[in-house]
Amino acid sequence: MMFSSLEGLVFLEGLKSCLDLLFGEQEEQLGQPSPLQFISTSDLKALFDFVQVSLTPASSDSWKGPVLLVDDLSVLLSLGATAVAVLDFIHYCRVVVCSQLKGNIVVLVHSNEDSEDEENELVVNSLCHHSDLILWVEGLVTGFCKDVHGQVMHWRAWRDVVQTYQYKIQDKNVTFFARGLSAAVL
Amino acid sequence: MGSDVIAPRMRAASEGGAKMAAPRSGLLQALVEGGASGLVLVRDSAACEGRSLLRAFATAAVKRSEPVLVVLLDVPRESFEAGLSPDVKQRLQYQDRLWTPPLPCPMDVGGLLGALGGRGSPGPSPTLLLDSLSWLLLRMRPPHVGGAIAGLLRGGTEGGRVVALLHEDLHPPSLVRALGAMATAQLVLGGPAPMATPLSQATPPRLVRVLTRPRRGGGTQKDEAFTVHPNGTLGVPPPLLATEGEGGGPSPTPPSGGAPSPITFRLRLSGAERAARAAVTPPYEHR
Repeated sequence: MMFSSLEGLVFLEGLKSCLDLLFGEQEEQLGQPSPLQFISTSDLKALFDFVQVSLTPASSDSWKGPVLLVDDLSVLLSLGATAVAVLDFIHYCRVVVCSQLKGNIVVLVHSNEDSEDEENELVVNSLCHHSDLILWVEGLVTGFCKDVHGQVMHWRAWRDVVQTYQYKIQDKNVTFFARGLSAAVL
Repeated sequence: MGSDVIAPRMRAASEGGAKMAAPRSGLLQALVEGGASGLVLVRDSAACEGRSLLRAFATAAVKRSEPVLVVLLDVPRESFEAGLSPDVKQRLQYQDRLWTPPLPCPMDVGGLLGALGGRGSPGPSPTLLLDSLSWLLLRMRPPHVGGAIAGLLRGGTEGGRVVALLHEDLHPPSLVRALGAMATAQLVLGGPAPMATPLSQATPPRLVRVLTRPRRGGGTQKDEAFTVHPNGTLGVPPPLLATEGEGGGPSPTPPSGGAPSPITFRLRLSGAERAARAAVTPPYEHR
């Protein structure tokens, strides 16, 4: 299992670990099941246990408000987890990370308007109902633009107010601006 | 889905209670203020959330001094309580064991439903808010969920109600229709309401389609605008823009379970449009 730990950051390289699990000779440590064993068991509990252990602060830690970043949830479906199992995994994470540890969860999922992947759309729609903030990122309807790479719509739960911004991705930063107000246009 | 047909009862006006709203407006308000019993289905989607209506039901029930039980499956207590006044929050009872660590693994859905049974008790009609019914439907077979709901209604006090939030974009239309057939009233959330008079509000009014099943059969369908104030109370703005017929009031139609009307244009004129037409001077004269 490939994960690295720097001060304040725990990074699980899920895709590489999947390949080792499927094709490599990975030695499983006693009492520590692989977080990705759901590939063979369809049970995401081990992945949740990994998240819980990684984010629960030790007595000496001064970090507060952990953040769980999942990139991306759609891959779990592709690896064989069911939609309900993925939603249950997120539910357990919300209890621990949000309610218990007072942190936040940021989840990336993919969706298309004409998608025929019913399980993926079920996960996306369900997450939209559960989220406090939704960022819907899409390309421009007019096609490719060198100075405007796409637009992001964001709305908060139960306020029904959608705000739309456009953005440009740079080397180490992303700049956001109101629609039609790109620096290249002004 | 095996279930009993639930005969809806609309309460008559009573002291301290909500008066029956006039047909032209306030059907939603009458339902929220205790005018319906049995299963009330709040159907929303990711674009048009319905949890604020559950808060309105909770607030109105607390003001009637009724016991309110909130079953939280979709969101934790803090999320549900956002938008409720402090005096309402402290009067609500919660069943949120699936949000209280340590969590059972796997989730004991059957045990949760069993714990909800037998909630009937003497006294004012209780209100049970289920957030959400979709959570159960994704983890249990629909016939079991239907039986559980019927059991909740039988176990409740006479005149009580179960208000269930259903995310209709998570389920096939056939299932939504079947659940609609169990309900005495359905509230189908829509987008921003087309107002006859524009309102300058931070949160514009939203549209809801109210579907009810009277005891004598048939059904009523009416589009209304509503807002939910920051303290959780329901606000009823002025009437919608030209949505009522010449006879006034909603036309009785069989409950369709939410199927859209096949007519894509209006056949009738509003009062304002009739007055405007009468005021136009034709460029000719009849002799």
